[in-house]
Amino acid sequence: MGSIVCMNLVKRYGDVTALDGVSFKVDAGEVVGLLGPNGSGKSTTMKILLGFVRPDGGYALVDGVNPVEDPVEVRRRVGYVPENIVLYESLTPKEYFEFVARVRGLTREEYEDRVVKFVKAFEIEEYMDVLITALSKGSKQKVALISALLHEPDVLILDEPLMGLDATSARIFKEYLRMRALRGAAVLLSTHIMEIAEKICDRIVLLHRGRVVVSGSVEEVKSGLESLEEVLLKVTGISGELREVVEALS
Amino acid sequence: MRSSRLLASVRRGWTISLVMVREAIFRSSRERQVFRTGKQLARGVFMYNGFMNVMGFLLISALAMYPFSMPVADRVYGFQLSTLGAVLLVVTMNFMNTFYGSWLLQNFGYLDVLKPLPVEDGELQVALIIATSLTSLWIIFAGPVLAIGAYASMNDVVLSVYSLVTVYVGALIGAALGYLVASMVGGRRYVTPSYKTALMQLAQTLLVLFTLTAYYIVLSIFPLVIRTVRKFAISLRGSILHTLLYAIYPINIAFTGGDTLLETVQLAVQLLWLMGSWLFYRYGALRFCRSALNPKHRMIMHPVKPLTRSVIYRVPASMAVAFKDLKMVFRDARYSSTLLLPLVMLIPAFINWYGRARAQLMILANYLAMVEVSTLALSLQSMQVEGRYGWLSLYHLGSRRKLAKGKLVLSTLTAVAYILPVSLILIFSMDIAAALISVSCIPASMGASAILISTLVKGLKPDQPIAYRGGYIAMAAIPMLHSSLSFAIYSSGQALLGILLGWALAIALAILGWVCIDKVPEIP
Repeated sequence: MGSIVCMNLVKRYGDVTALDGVSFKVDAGEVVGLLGPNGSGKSTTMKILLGFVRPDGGYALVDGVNPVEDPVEVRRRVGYVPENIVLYESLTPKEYFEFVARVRGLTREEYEDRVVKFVKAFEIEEYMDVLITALSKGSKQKVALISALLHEPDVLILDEPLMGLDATSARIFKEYLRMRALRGAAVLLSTHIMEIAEKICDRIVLLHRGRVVVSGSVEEVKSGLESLEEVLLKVTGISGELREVVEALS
Repeated sequence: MRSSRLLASVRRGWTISLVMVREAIFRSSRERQVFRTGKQLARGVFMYNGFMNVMGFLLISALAMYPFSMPVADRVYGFQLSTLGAVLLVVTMNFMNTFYGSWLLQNFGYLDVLKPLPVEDGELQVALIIATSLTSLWIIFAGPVLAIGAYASMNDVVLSVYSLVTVYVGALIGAALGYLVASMVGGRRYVTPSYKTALMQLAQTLLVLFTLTAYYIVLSIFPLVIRTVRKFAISLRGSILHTLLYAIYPINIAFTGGDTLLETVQLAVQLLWLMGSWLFYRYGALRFCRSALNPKHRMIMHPVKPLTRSVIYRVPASMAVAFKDLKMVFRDARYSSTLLLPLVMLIPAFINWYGRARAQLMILANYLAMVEVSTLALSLQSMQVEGRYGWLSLYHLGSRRKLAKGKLVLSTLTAVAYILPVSLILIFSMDIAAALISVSCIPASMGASAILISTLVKGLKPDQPIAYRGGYIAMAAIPMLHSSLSFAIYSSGQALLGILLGWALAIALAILGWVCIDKVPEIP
């Protein structure tokens, strides 16, 4: 049973305040969408949760572990897909999965059982022996997703995980996330595609300029507006500007 | 408990490092455009390391032969000097290798993939040490070369073992220092430069270096093992065997102590070198030849056409293309290393020539053979660069023949620049026969280069590694045999026969080259 807690997180890069007292939690069994415009602090929050970045104030707990104190333990428990995926491109997907499994200490049986399952689900059997560098963006994304899921973590932190995926794979992945949540995983998902957030998230945390501006269930956040996109435009105060820009273009 | 944890760390570090090194080698070959953008120049460290490896190895070989150039009474002094030089060399070069390798692995994205994975700092340290040690492979071969040199000059096993050990100790010290400095300069969390850590790293380096030594000896001795692990380390294999190919040359030189028996051994080793190269690249080479001789490609087997066209008319255009390439020559590390290789080889050649012993002619033959091979490699790499940067399809469009001839001019200039000084020295030494043979290397190089270039321009995509491997080795055999055979005959006392054979082969190659390059079609 996983969980994520962010409590008054503050992060500054020089004069720029990236996070200014961000607090939210993701309970076991929840899929929470972390939304916001570019530069709102989503990626910084995720980096703090993984222990890549040290917060200047507040604290975070991932499955009860503070990433500042024990980042390796956090990474052991988390499945993470970064926005810009980095893979060892000189390996084939098969070799890469084996590598990740060895580093994560999976047994041969666990590895084989899971890889077969994921590879079939995401339809990359035919690319298993092709160098990753030769794969399409979508296939690389699938490799990154599978390697994040191989150890069946109780906490999933996913930054734009559906980027480049075809419709079938995206659907499968969304269903898988729901299933993982039902089994007690805590899922934090960042995306710019509001429809996806509306469909798969239980709750939404909307960040703007490093602060949580709206938080609650999808229906609560929408509060009578047509879509999450409308909510985002409204709370970030750019709906008026947007109209002007569109009119200028036309 | 502690030891089992250490062992587990080493094992996981080993796994990580192999993947990192493979990735690094892969990236360095794929991202040679870093030299164009300049932004990621530092990623070329692995090319730089490759060059350093060759340089270091050849310098060690020169040092190993240094005592030969002295009278017997002074050889102890010579031995001490060469051992000291070798130790300083390995300390410095391994320091540089480890420093750059480690620092760059930390700072240029090779560790990014590991970020989300639960990798302990200790494991990462082991991985970094192994990864950087892999780029210093030449030291493994340098030790035996120095030892053989010491034995040949001093005839003393103890001194030979002493030189072997000092080189390895020097390498360890250099690596440990390089790693520590990289840790401090890199400023990442992976290393805490403390006294205890330094000791740990030294111990780990020792362990790793000895493991690697065993690993590569196994790889070197049993080609079957190489085949078995081929899938696992395709990129590594290339680098290891490339190192080996270069390694055999100086060993071969070190053998030439000065009598006929050793000359025979030297020739045998040279032939083994060729056979080994052929075996290693057999698929590539065979495919290359099949492709080259395929009537569909209309390459080599053309009827000789009367040489009626004016050479003078065509030279300016070709020169223009060649000089456009010169800029690239100095920007691409591998290019430059090819150019510099004969220069490095010049050191042992002249050290031995200085001794004036007639038997040392074989060293000269080796040098000239290396020049011929390097000239070929240069033509080939120049074509690869053309392919990679897309120039073939841009400003050369419609002028492939001009392009091919430009490449020929470029590679010939190199051959002339390296062969002429040697020929002049031979003339001043009143060894006119040897000078005549050495000059014949120029038309031989030109002919072989012309065949290779025209084949690449016409038939194959220049960027294909298969062409590089197969072509390089297949064509390298021809000029190497040319200089080796003619000098071998000459040094056996048959001067006239040596000259005749040298020039006959060179003229045949030149004519064939001319025909081939003249048949390069313009793009319709």
